[in-house]
Amino acid sequence: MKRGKGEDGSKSIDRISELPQCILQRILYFMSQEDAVRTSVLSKSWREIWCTRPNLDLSDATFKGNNGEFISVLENTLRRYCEQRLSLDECSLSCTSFDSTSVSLIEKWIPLITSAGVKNFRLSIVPAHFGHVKLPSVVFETESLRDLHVERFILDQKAIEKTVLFKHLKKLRLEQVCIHDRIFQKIISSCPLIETMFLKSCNTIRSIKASNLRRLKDFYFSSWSDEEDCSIEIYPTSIETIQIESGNILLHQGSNFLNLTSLFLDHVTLSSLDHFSSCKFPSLENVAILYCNGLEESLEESHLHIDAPNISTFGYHGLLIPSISFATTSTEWSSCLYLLMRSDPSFWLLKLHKLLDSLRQSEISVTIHQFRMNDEDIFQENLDLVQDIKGGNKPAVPLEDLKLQGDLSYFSPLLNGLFCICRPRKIGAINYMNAESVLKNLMQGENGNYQDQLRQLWLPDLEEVSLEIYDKNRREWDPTSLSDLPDYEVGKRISTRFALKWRESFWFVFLQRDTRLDEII
Amino acid sequence: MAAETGTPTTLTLKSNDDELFSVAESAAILSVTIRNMVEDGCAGGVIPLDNVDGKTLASVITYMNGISAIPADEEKKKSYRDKFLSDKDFETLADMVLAANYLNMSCLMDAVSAKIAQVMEKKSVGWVRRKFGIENDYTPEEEAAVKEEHKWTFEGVETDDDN
Repeated sequence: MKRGKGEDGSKSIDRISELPQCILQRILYFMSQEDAVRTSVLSKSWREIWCTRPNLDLSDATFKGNNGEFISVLENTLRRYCEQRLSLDECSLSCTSFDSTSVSLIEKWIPLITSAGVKNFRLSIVPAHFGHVKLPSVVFETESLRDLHVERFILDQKAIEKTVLFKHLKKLRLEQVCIHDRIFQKIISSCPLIETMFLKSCNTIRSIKASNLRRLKDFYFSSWSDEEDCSIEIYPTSIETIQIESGNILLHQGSNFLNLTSLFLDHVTLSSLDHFSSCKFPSLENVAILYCNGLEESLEESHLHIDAPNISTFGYHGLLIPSISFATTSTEWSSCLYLLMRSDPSFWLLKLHKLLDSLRQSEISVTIHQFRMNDEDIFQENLDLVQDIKGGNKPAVPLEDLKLQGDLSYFSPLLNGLFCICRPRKIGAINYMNAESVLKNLMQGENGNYQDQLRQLWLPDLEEVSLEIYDKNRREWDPTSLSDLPDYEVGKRISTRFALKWRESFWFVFLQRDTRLDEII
Repeated sequence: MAAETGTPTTLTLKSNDDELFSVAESAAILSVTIRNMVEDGCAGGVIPLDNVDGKTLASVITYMNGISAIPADEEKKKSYRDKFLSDKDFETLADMVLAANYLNMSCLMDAVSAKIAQVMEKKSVGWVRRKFGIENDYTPEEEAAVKEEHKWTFEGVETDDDN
């Protein structure tokens, strides 16, 4: 059966056209609609193969032509499948810039698509403008839907008058959809197989009770409205990723989030830290807690303990320093803190030391952004505490990286306080023009004031400071020196940083303490 | 049926040019055709595969062994398939896809089909004709008519001049 090329190589045998129809259909199955249709021009035997492939994939966003042409291509193609009674297993239809007349055509197309036996139907409808277009109710009666993406519609009672038949739906994406709780609840209660739920800017939803969706894997919710937060309840066992931007998550006491790998909470109200702390996250790798409410109570009452044995990255952004700790067996993980300082500095360094201490098994990076405030204040407030930390058995915590932003200068009294509680290996990024003055201020004190005395608390431990410069092309830091820095040019920004080497005695204290801990355990 | 425990059962496959191959049953039953034979008890002696030549069968068996050694990890399986097919020319791919179809091995069939589809992706009609030796049997008028019918698919495609 095997035939090679012609002996003189002048004409090769056309093996591809000789492949059985079922194989050619399979090859075309993997092509875009455009590429598949274009094969009709290859030769006469290819003319009709494209419209026997078991899938149809049309999107007006990638269609080369106007909306009228798109509609006519779609209708002609559907007609071919129907007339030839060809079966269509998969259909993906995306209409993202339709006016109301075109949207209403969907009512005509869906029965055609369904009658072709579609098992796997992905539908995406986004009208050109918000508000005036009605979503044809036939959408909710389409049992073959696997994937539904709807944007910029109002979904009222009329759209789902009849029963919602979404028993095969795996993916639901609603964006800028005006829908009320009762209707939303009716929809999600009729899709037991749903795996992905993506809800963006559906600001009228006040409550999501998804705890009966036992296959839900990926949940995304984002809503930035001024009204009250949406309260969200999720079935813990199946969920793999959670991303919530503005909302209120309800966690039940002792829930086991068996498969959750990623938890991203931005402006979320953590209503019960006790419940959160009692949950288990055995697969959790990435956690981000950004500007969340519920962490700001007094020190004792607001501790969050995260039971995540496989943690890999922890990110925190916020106006206050939270009390968070991890129960983990992970040996390589990192913490990235972005702290915004505002006017009330009370116990700031103490809280920060406590947080860093509880994260000390991870590689920690800290960025501090200061709004307008007098950083002399913070140091006065914390002076005694710093003495306590330095003098007592509270060793400074090693940091990988420390960055100061905003109104903070690198030689502020705050740095004195920070160096008493933590020992960064790197300080940056500093514009190359400022490198010299920062270095000077780091190593030499102003004369005679109390800041100098404080400097004496950490300066003896600082063994070496070296300058590094960032190479944008290689994305690496290289050692350099002040004299090797490039000449000043207006508008030029080159990042530099300092690598700090701290004296062994500090590590010794630190190690000793750990050894003791080991012995106790 | 194979025993649940003990030494792994080995099957002997025979190509249409009379080459014999030994392969672990656990790997060979990736082929639904072979699995049915095993389940029907017809796999005792030599299994003749009349539509596959020795060279192609050797390659298919390499694939069977490779893919069945990978635990249930779709990503790793996919990267194995990609690597396995990466150096195959079209002649070999055509032989493989025919063999996969005959042996009813959907994963290999899909991987090879996708690979061939990928070669044709975004290519001009002229390029595809030359690459696969497809003879244009349309008259110029007929060809123009087909092109006109599907003109939306002819924008932004690579020109006919490339190799």
